Amino acid sequence: MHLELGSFPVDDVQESDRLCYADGVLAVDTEALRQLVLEGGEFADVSVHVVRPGDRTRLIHVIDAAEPRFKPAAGSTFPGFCGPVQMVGEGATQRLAGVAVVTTSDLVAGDPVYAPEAIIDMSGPAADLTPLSRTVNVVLELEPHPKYLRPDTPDGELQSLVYRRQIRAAELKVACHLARATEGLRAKRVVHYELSKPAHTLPRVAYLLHDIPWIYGAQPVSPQGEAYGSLPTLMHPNEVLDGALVSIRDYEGCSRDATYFYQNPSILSELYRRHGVDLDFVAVVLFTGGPDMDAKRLASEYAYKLLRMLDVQAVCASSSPSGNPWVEFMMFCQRCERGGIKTILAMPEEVGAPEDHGFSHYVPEAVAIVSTGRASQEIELPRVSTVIGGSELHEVSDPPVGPVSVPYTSIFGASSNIGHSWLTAREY
Amino acid sequence: MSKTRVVHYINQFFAGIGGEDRADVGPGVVEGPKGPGLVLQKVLEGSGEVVATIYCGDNYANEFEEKARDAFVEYLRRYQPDVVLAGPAFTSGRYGMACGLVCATARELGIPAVSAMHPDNPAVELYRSRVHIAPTAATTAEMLDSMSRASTLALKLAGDQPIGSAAEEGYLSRGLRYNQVASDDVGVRTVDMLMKRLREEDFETEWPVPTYDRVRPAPPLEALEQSTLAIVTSGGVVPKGNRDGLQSARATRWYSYSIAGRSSLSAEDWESIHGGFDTTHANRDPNRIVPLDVLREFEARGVFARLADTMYVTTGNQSGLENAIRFGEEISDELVKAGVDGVIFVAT
Repeated sequence: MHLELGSFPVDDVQESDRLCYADGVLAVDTEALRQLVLEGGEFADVSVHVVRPGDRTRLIHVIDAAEPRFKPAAGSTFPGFCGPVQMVGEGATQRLAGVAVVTTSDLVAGDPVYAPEAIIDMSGPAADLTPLSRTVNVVLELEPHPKYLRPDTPDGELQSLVYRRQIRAAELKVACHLARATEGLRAKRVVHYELSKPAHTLPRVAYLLHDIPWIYGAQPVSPQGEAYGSLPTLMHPNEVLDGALVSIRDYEGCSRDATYFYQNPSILSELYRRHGVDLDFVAVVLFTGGPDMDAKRLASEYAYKLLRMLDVQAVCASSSPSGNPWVEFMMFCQRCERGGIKTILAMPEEVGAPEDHGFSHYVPEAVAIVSTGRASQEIELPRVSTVIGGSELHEVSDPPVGPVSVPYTSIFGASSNIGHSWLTAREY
Repeated sequence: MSKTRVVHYINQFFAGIGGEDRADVGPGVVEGPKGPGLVLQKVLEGSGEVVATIYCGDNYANEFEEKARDAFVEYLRRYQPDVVLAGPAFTSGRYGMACGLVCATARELGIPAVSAMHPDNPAVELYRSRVHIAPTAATTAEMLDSMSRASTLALKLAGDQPIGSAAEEGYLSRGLRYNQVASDDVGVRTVDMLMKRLREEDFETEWPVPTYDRVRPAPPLEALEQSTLAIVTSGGVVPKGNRDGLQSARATRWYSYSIAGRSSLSAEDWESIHGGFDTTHANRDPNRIVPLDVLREFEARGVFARLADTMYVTTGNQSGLENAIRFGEEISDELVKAGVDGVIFVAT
């Protein structure tokens, strides 16, 4: 499989009445974007904002972010959302680099009563923690249609699940539309992604992605919001890079699996970079455990079996956020280590005071962990000029304009182990 | 800028009073540096001054902890230091404990404190969460280096400067975890760790999982009716009056007592000196802690063959792990010598 990812760097975004990309400037047809979002009747209203790195602007109630992408030649961009379900990861894809479509929304019926905040600051200390503070962001401030404020659909499905999908659909539609500005243009830079056979024998390595995203648009959870205990699945890394996975999670801002992070992954990209040089990157395993112990045992045994069939010596694994899913994540680690596959875990420290060890579950075999930070610690956010996304923070009573102290949990992507993040924790 | 006022703590040996034979000497204080304090004064150079030296015998500080603490409080109030530096205690357990006690006392008074000792010193486990401890070599050969590391940390603490992570500042981890922004992102760090493991190079986890010593239970006795049993207890049950001075907490010793010919433990002759629970009921009837009365009944009925003549006693209250492991090893040696097949371990 050969993917050609063509980059069109964006230095600035300007609001306009016509979509155009030239000389590193993306002119955005704001009114057309609004119509695109509103045409399905899922939103009462939408405001479009452009925010830039260094702005004294705070985005709150952030749901997701996506990089504008477009597959020109008979491809499907964001299959299952913006195009037919069709394999991605091959052929040409055009990307607007340095820009993201970011969605914000209030809660709807069926959202958790405890609703974690998700903040992107465009300047200040929190802006050092996520790449989404370094992109020019086209923000869609969404207002849900009143039908989403009733608890259930007539079919008994959770309104929040239906609405969550509609947010992604609107976001990806806009992302795809913006990238069409590059149609017929020549990319500034093209990167080729192919898992070619290394010239000499290198250690075989896989990447395990522990998560429940939409896969080619397929719903990974039941209408009542329970994760299906699906079996681990093999993927080509190009599929992940090319829009096969879309974020479903709406909790824990710091470890949110934004769609943007699948498109611009950290561990996966690094494995790719060192493929053929230091290691032989063979595959991605998408790993989801079920709700009970048998399902977790099955998932971890099955993932281990896939790795054995791939004949890998080691695996890098990024975890879901804390709690129940950590059980199957640690079971997987134990299974691999006992079976002779070296396992490196990347995970956030989600629970506890500084003196707590911070694990909700662990096994003695988990000897190699990369920490993406202590979520429960507080960070002081400075006063800003503009707040987009709402007028009150979830869980914190101080006004969002700041100065305000929030847990790192609230900083969107700060503890991401899928996308790029720099936060870690040390012993004091 | 005025010089940082440092109070130094040393034991009776380094104070020049005497060795083990004088370890029971009580606390005292002198103005200025003394013994290794002269090295401290030298490494502080122009930035700090050793205003006083507190000393105490190692046995005294461990056995009369409350009295020692009261004296330390008085001295610290008198000299009003900006920071306290204790040791280095190297691998000396009792000296380390005394250093920890002085530093913890200072912290309670709001005075920053640093101790210096070897990472294996038993006091590390007990005091690391409350006191910054600079690691030292095992012996006094590296006194200058040890003192230099500890004094750098002391000056930083006294100056109210932010203290970095244990790895950056070179102190022993206090078991606290705080966020930092790394220079490499999660992907680079993860794949670097992967390559180190694949190349079988040394690597360091960023987040250690807690480790516990797992003790495999002994297999059951095959023939209880032919077995000799012994009593081991952490209940602090001793002959009334506690003639050996077993500690009521943080025990560093264990004792053995004869129970030969006794049918039970009478309240006239026995008591529990345990400091971790209300001993009123235990002391009305010590058999409530050590059920010698019931064991004698079982012995008479032939449930087991014989009760060993000696029982082994310590106090299980805030025990240091290292001491507890040592007790286990020492007591089990005795048990094997005495031909004991099984143990009734009476905890509290």
